[in-house]
Amino acid sequence: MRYVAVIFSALVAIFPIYWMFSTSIKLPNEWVATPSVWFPSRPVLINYQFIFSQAYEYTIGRRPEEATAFYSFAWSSMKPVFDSLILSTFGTLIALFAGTLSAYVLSRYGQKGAPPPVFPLMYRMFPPVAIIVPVVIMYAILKLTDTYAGIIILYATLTVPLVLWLMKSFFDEIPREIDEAAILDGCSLFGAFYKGVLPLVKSGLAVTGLFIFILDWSDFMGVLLLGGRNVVTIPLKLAEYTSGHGELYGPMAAMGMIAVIPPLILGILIQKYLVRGFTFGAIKG
Amino acid sequence: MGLHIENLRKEFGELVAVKDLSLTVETGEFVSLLGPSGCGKSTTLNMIAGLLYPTSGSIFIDDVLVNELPPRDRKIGLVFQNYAVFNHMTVHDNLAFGLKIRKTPKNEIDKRIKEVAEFLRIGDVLDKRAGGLRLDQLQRVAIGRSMIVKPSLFLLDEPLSNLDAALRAVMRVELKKMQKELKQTVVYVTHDQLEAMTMSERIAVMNKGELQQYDTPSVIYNHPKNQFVANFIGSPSMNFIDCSFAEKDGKAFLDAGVFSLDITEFHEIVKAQATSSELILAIRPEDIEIMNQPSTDDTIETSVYMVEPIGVKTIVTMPIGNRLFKALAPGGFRAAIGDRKWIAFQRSKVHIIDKKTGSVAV
Repeated sequence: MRYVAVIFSALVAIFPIYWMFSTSIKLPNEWVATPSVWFPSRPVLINYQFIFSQAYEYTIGRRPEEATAFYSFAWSSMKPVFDSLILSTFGTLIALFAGTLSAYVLSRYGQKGAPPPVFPLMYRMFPPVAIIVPVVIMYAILKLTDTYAGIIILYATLTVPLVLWLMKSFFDEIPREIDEAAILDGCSLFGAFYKGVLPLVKSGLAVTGLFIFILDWSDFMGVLLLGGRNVVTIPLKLAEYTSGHGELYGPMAAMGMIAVIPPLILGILIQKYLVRGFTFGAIKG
Repeated sequence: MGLHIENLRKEFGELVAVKDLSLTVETGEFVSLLGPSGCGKSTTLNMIAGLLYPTSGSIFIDDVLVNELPPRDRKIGLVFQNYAVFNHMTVHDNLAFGLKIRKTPKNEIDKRIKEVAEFLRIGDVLDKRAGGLRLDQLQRVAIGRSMIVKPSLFLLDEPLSNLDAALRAVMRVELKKMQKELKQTVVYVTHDQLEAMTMSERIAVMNKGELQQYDTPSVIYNHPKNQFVANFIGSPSMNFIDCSFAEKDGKAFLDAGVFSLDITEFHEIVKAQATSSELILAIRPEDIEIMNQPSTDDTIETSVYMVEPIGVKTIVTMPIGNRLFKALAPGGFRAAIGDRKWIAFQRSKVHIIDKKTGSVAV
């Protein structure tokens, strides 16, 4: 009985991914057929070919040179994949760097027993739309709109508070004596952090990093309003496939499959830290 | 001198954690800082180690004023209560850590690690990660890591409190033996009087940031200086009962209401030292004799309230006035609750405490 429940929940969890995968290898007439086509009658790769080629006519029946300026820069999906990777990676790294250092300082040198800092988190308590408008105006003045640096700064600043909170809880679990032991052995204050404490929160860092990366990876609002020409990410590209030019479920699913890959690889790479990171603090001994 | 502290004071805002503490530890001496939690003993230790900066006062290690020196230059080793061993490193790297930072040549590091590992019997786990060690091995690694830099002063902060009772007894003996062999100066912080009594050459009893008494274990036990020390040292702890001082026909008495004790022999001392006639009579459980019949005039009638056999001894609790007195009877002592008994105090072991000042007169 228990296995039935386990298998059922596994199926429920896996089904959307299966559906995405099967759609990505279906012919157009099977995308939204009634009754549903559960297994593609003839698996094809045209959806993948489509997103990585310039077969633009196929999309909306117009030739590339007739396409509007908005579309002209992003036929191929190589660019969105590349852009997503660059933006998410650097956004995550910067947020991790700044957030981890501040978290350590707050954990060690903050006032003892003081409530955790809520202020940095306020940023994330508004709906993103509420803060994005002033940011758009700021970016326009700073001429950061539609630049890599601009989006990276946006990602980093939006996620630093999360890193700060997560990492602070990891640091709080490490006894101060670790720092003190390192200092007694002759480390500087930074040395105590870097050599003594940081290696102990590796798993926390891995989990936080993955979490932030996925957040950045799936951002839509930010890049919709601040990118578009020079900077196109996968979510933005995905949206394009539904924007009133017919519902291109096949290419969408294909793009979705590709979007799954980098977080998946990252997850596998840091897997050995993940389980420890997720259970960190759950067991004290 | 191994360690000399002068008028050391530490304030945390309003709170005075250590109040003008002065203390001298001779080279090669084992001294315990003993007191209840929050008495300032760990704060004192952290100031000696250089992890806390004193509000005022001076600390000398080997006759060098170290107030302004960073921890690494103080020639100290500190073992933490939770060991603070780097779990992510091997035992070998843990031991080498301090030496590497001090830029010790590699062959010297290897030589010292070998010595220390042999001495502490952790040679077989050198290549293991510290995270997977047993508690007593971790303990040894923690000691080894501090020992390897050859400190002139060894500081131990409740190092045994994480171990179970059996292991604690083993480590207590080992630590003491180690200290003797190396003739190491040790300052040992503990709240466990058994550890302090068994291991130290001198004990500094602290309470609320103040040094209460600093002397050998036997003096502290037999001649406590004030009521705090009298109460804190000894298990089961000393019995106290409020008395008033009375003189009659050239004799002196302690009147506790339910009984009166002739203390003519201490008459002069008490008279000279007491600030008022309100006194406290104190007596250790083992100095109370339990009898089945009244013998001398000074026996006090009571009844058995509770009997707790602890093997070698039996703790007998009996009400006297509005107090419950505990007495130590031999292991074979048998009595039923409610039995009538008579007790007598061993006269030479009676302490008389001034209630107002808390200081022990006799």
